[in-house]
Amino acid sequence: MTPATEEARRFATRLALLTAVAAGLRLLALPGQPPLADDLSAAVSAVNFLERAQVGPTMWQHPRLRDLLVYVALWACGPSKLGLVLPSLLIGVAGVPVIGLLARRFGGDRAGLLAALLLAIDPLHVDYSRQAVQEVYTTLFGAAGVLTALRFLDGRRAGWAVASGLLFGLGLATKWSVALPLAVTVLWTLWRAGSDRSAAAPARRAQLALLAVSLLLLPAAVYLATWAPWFRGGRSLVDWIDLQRAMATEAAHHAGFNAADSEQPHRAARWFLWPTAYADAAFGPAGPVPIVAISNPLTWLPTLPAAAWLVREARRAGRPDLALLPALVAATWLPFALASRPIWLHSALAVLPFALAAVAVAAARLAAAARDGSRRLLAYALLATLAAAPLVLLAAGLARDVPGLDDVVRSYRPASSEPAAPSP
Amino acid sequence: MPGLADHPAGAATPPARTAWLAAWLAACCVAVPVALQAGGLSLREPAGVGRRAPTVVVARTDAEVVAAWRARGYVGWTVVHAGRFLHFVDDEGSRLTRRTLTEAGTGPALDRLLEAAATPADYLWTAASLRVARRLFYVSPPGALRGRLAALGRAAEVLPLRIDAAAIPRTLDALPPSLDEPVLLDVNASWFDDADAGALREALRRARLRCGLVIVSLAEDAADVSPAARSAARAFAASFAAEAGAPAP
Repeated sequence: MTPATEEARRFATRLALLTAVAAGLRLLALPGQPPLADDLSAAVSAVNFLERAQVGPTMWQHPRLRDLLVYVALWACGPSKLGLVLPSLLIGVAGVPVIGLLARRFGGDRAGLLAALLLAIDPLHVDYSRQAVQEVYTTLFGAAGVLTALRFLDGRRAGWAVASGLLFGLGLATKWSVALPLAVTVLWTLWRAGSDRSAAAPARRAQLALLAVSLLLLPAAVYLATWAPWFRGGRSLVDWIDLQRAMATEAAHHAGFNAADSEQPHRAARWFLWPTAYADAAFGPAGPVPIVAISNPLTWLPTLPAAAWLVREARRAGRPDLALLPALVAATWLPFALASRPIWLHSALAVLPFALAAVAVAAARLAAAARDGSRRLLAYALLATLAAAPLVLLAAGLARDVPGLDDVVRSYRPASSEPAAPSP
Repeated sequence: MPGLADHPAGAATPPARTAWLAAWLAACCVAVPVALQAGGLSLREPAGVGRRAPTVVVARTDAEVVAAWRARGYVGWTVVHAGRFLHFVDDEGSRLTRRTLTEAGTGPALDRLLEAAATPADYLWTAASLRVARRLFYVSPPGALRGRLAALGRAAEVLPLRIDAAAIPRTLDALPPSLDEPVLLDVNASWFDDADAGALREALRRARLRCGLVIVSLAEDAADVSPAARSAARAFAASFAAEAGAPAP
């Protein structure tokens, strides 16, 4: 076995280990927990979409991939908590190796493993991997779309471009926010492929055509295809465009579905400047189960300095690819940060893979240049993990009986204005 | 097209194959909207509707209107409703939550329960939820329309008014829309508490609506419709059928 192969095997083993840790954290006491009102609403919406060709009742203004996946999960597992959240759980866990591979692409093995760790222990990501709503899908599909597009640029194998288009299409069918990293990826790949003078002109033209079809037409077609059950309501493309327009109107003015939403932190401009939170509660036979996702300050707050440092490094080292992660962070975060309507923390899951990858790549590159770099990197990973431990308990709904954390739980009022949902 | 074995694993895809793949992929992408459009429309419209005289039916209650549409298998229609009220109280899923979650695939069974539970407050919402109506046009008599616009703080110039941004498109107007497609016409007895039959007949004639089915609901399950309005509705149904050359309801 060559040293390179041995290194790759070691990386794969460690990445698999981190993925297993991520799965464990996301499954922690999950089967016994009562479903959230949103979990039940997601199930009703799935049945409504597949069997009645209707959107809603919950989040009618979002695309419908969630309905398709939750319906399959309901069919396979029944309406238990685990059955309702199974798609989010699988997609949430799959996000960990994907972000690891993405960060590795920019900063080597250490950056990849650090990014995978940061996502595995991220309280917000843990929380939404345990909910039926679609937020956590944006992390996976955005990151995987970028990763596969970069793979295409590396080897010019057509399959990667097609895979990227499929993944971005699924991302768009999750939430429109995935269009932001897609736009950056389109510009980046077209620029890189178009300016590649090592390829002959016919090859370059063919690659540009494939990229255009894969990253523009294919995501649109996948997005449209996920609406197939809705067309069974006797609808036409004119009806569909009319609905997309209504969804855009709602998305532009959406202010939450109940009064409690307005009391939650909802300024996206603060996401990477100050710890922020989103609280919810499930109601079961043993009373409410408060679930509080608070961003980990040790992993979220370094995002902007890391992105700025990577831009500087890209200029200094003449490596424009290092500026791609900061570009993805900026393009995905700034529209939220500048929006005039409330944006809650869960929307940050679309930015998170690029933010954590930027932090990990910057940390790994800084460590590589420093004396004692390995030790410092390990210390950072340990500190981030220690900070995450109580936050993950809060996010998993396990903090109510933990001394010290119960006070934190009490400071977040459950969404009491929303009636308790019935158990199935 | 060259075979898969023509280039080694890990090597760049040859330009000819890349170009062929791009063209094939583009064709597949174009096929998606074409297939969805054809599939959606094929479910909508029984052949010959609009060329023959419409069937005119009298329903005793608003709830019976949904049952009549469902019994005839209407899917994805435009419903034009003439009456004073919107009949669209949306329960946002709460009525169905517990039963829906029994297991996936219970939709058809639940549909019968939903149909049976229709009331004057929500029978058009029920029709939309059960795939009968894909969009609704409300033709409101003048008094009710003035009151509704005043409640919304809007002037008559906004008509036709799209009600909210919502998943089921609903439009409010003083006149029926002129549409290229056949519609389900639903005349509620409540209309005749506010306006006379002549005004409605004239408005419908001018709009030249093609109707698959005309239902006149006597709204006997609605407390806010007068007996006189029900009598007028019954007379309207008979005269409308006679004018359209349809069998008497």
